[in-house]
Amino acid sequence: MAEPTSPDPFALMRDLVSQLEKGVNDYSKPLMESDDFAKGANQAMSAAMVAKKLAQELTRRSFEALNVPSRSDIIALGDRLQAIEDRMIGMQATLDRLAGGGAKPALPAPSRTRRPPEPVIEVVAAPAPKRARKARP
Amino acid sequence: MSAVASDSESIAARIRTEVDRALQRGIKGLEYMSSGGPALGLTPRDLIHQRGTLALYHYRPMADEIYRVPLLLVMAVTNRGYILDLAPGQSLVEYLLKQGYDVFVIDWNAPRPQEKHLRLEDYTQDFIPDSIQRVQQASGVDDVTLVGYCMGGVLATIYTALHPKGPVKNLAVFTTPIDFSQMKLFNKWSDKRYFDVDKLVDTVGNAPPEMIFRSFDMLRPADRIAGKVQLLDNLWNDEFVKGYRMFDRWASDILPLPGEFFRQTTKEFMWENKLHKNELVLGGKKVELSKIKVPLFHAVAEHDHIVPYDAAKPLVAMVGSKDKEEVVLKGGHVSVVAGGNAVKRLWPRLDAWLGKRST
Repeated sequence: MAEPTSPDPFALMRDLVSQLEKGVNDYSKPLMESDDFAKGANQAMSAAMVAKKLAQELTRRSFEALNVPSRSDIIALGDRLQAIEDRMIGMQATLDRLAGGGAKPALPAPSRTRRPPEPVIEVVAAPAPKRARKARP
Repeated sequence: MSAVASDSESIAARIRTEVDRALQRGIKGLEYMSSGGPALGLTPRDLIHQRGTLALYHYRPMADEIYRVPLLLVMAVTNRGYILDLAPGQSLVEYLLKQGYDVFVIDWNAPRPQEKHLRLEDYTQDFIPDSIQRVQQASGVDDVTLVGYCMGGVLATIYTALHPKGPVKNLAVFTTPIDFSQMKLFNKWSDKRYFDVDKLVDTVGNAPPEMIFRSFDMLRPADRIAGKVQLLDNLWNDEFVKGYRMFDRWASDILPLPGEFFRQTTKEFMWENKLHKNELVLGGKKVELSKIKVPLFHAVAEHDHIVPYDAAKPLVAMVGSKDKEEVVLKGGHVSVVAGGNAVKRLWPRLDAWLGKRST
């Protein structure tokens, strides 16, 4: 049976996407290595940071005025709960030690005696020696 | 059969396949939009210590007999640790456990606003030694192998250099930058003429994750859109979609950086390249990589666009170890440690190197 000779348009499309991706990345690299880009990107980022900070501050003040806890307040509460939990865990560990050992693990820990597997050495049979031909009488 | 008839059949088969896939895309597209992402990082582990951003976990053993020396994995500070534990069969942690290693991991939590004061000293002279001490207590063994990925590798390397007499027995790092001047784009974008890191940190405190995410994204600006096009094209393929969702979720799950840490690494790594020049001083102690004498394994990726080879290669030359190995593997910054490529390449190499040094 003869092999098909027509190209696969779907594969060509996929290949085109890959080529475009590579092309855009290669084209943009020298642009992004330029001083102008670095300067512009940093200015944009700086403006965005300031705007974000301002928005956060306005939101915080609005929440305060409405007597509603802000995200920072909730996070702070979470931190205090975590600190309390950590202290309780520490106290539990101390009590366990005083009681003589604490909870025993359900299964014994595996022994630390493992060795790496020996490397497999392949034994290659030596070729059979050639027999010398006896001269015919 | 003639070529024309064969062609017609082939075109008809292709069209049938594409129509079938288009239908599948519609059905699975709805499933994709209505379902949550895959659950990641499911290998069973226990939290043995937590202190703010520091979280130390101990994975439950999967072998009846384990190596003497435990491993402590140090994750990069900008990303979650589950890249090393994506899913069953695609988890470096699971692989190491099955090969008989006792695995601990430092998996960073997002630092709180109150932690903006944290510096490199806190990571290398508090968090890591504190974690090592707990690993020693949990395992009953003094020796520890440190394994670090990317900036986690930098932290592990710095710690080892500052503690040449132990307890680190082996140091294994992946895609770890030493010469930051070779990270050209990051270097240009953080150029001190244009990037006022003091103003940024003094304004926002911790470096926001969206800023870090955008900077990684801009390294290859077409990748995100091309990725979406490929996802659309492959929505019929469950395995592709699963893999895409895993890596996309991890790549988007960026952590903020403590403000002072960000300020310090920008100035001392990006601007002054002090680690490579042997000029880095932390907590009054000079970091000299030549003081590292323990066995070193450094895996670098051939096509790493985040940590180019030139940025990573000085490590092996600069350490004082006699037993040291650099392995250049096919793949990118992430695919070298996770995914199908890593399963075939890095993981068995790492196991072969670590096994004989973990007894």
